Amino acid sequence: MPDSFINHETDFKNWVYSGYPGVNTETLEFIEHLLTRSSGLQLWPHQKEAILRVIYSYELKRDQLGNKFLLKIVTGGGKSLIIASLIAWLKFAHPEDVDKFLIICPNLIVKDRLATDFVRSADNDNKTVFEKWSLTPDDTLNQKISATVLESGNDPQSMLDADIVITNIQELYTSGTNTARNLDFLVTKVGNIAIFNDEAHNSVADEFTRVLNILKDKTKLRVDTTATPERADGSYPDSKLIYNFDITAAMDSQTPIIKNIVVLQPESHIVEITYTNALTGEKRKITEFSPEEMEQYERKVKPFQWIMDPAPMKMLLSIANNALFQKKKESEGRYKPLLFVVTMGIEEAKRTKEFLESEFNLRTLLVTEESDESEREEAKRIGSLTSPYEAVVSVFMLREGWDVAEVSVVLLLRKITSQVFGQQIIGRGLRKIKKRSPEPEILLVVDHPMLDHGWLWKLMNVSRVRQDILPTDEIGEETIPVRTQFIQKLVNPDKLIKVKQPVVDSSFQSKLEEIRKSLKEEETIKNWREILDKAVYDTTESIEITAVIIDRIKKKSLGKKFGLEIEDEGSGKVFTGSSDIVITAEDVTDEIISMVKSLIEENGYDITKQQRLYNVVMDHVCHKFLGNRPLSSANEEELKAIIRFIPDIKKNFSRGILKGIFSEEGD
Amino acid sequence: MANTGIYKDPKKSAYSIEYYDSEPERQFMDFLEQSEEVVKWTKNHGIKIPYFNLDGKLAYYTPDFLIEYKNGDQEIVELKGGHMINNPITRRKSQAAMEWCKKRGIKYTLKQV
Repeated sequence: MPDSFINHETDFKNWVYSGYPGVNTETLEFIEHLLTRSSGLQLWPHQKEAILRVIYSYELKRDQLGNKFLLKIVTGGGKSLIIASLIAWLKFAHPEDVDKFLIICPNLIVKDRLATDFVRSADNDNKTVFEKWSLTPDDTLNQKISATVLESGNDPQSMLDADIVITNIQELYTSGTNTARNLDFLVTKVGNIAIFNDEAHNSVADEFTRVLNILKDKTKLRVDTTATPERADGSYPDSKLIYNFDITAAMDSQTPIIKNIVVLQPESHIVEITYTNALTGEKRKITEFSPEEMEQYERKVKPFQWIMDPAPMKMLLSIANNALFQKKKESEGRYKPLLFVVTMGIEEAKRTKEFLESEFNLRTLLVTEESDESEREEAKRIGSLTSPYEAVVSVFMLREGWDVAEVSVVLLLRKITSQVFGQQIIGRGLRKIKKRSPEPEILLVVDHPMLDHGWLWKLMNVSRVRQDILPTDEIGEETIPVRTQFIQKLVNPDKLIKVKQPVVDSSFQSKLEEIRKSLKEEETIKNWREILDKAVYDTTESIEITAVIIDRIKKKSLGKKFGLEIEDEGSGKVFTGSSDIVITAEDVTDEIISMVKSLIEENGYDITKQQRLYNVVMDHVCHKFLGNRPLSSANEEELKAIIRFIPDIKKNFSRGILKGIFSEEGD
Repeated sequence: MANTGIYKDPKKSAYSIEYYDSEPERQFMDFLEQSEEVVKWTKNHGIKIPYFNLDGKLAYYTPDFLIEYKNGDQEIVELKGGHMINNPITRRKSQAAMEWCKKRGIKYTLKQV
């Protein structure tokens, strides 16, 4: 998204340099107390910078920058302390401007974390963030600032008593009776407000906009804080980007605040494929001893089989386990390193948990949206020395808000296609364990080259992608490469190009409209039933990778002299395995629910549409795989076929098809 | 991708380094640095041009180079290999880019390399 601060950079620097001229007296006192103090707890430089930019924009540049700002702050960059400091500043320096502070977050996990900072409780030794950090110069005020959490179904009355209201966006939706009452209460009973969106813009775009629009007239200031301003559909919020503290900036700072990333990729090839023909009952193994046949069948292997089929999956888990073993050695028992695995569906998540526990003896927690409260509590406690778990497996659930610094190894068992989701998933492991130490830390990511994630590693500015990792390799301690010269830094601001602003051109507008109109038909597929009916899933033949081997006989030595290559002929361990797991109708239902959820989320629809889509998908599955019999009547082979074709089924539910399905609602 | 790399210490860019994704891009960077007409250039311009992809879905396209000339004119240059130049996606993108640039009085050039 465009940087709105470019034209103000020089003026801002001069403003800081000359001692903040033009701000009100209290603001000056606040800056001296919190940002330039020589004793007491110190904010990170980027936190100070973010706060100063908001102050500058709000007090001096409102006519040009408006009152809606966006701070892009990397995961682990201490967003909640920035929010708290801004509240402290407004309370101290502009008490007349704002009556109520609203902190909106996307989900319950973020809400809980914010509550721990802002609401006085045993969790924070009865000290709020305001007291602990002495955020305003006035200690009585620091003690007085109070916060409440808007819980589902609670009386909105509680909002009146506290200065700060923490809520997740769903509590303000206009569609529910209770939640609409919350919003109405804010509109009618409360004076001017300041809104802080902590990653909340990733929620469904139209509901988010609706809520903010209703509150528009009484919003004096809005600050959006996020690591990923762009939504899955490519749009971004209407606030002005005034600070960009991204991954590159974070790695380049004096005290690194996030981990460096090193990607480990195996290089392997298939040595055995099992072919099954459901009609004839023929079952045979194709091996590398018949190279031509092998080549023919290899072409039928789909990319996701490289991670989902049991043999290659075991190989990847084995590498991840070795990486975790190294991290355990490095930790010397001071903390508990964790393995975080992300899978495509519930079925693979369960299988992964089973493998991790049986083959590697790693106690594993499975977190899905169906997980109950106690399991989610466990997920929060995980990483502490008292937690029994060493690995977490998740489908889609743990994306934002859940960041446990002890996550030391991430294993991707799903193909990532969205920049936002990619950054969010890797972001779970980016927080440093020793936050304020100048020592760099490393996050190991295990990834299969067939998934083509090169673009993500470039985007995430990873330190190193290490190919041809063998599952038998002992993974050594990674050294951090000297990388300053590779960081793209702004060095000549005078060479920045100010892109020319568009002239109002009515003919362009009408042309764009024309293009839009001509595309309408393509967008919504009205005859979606017909199209879906034509879908073909060939279930007669199936192939599965049942054995893989590593084909490198040379490998780079790890942790020894750089560049030394040693012969390593004996380590080509073969990984074998076949899916002999019993699949029930319930498993298939779970898998379909999880697919429906990701379709809803990836396409930016509201969760209320889920039931409708589930019904359509289920009808489609029963029609295509079971000759319109219900799922409960399916036999073992049929259930297996459905599971195998889930990725293909998902592909057939394209955006146009979804639009078609939902365009019929309310008819 | 083949031949990606880092262009160190460009004099006319605001950044310490620029990334190139192909050999022709690196050569073009050399050309920009030497050209007397060019005063500023970068690949790190953050421009995202909305267009409709082949599925009719709104997508965003980031062109290769943003260049500013001595006389204040600006140009966006996209380098494409010969086999890509008539590809339907390339055409959609360049159509959208032409409209976007026209609106701003910026020149748009699709260069075959």
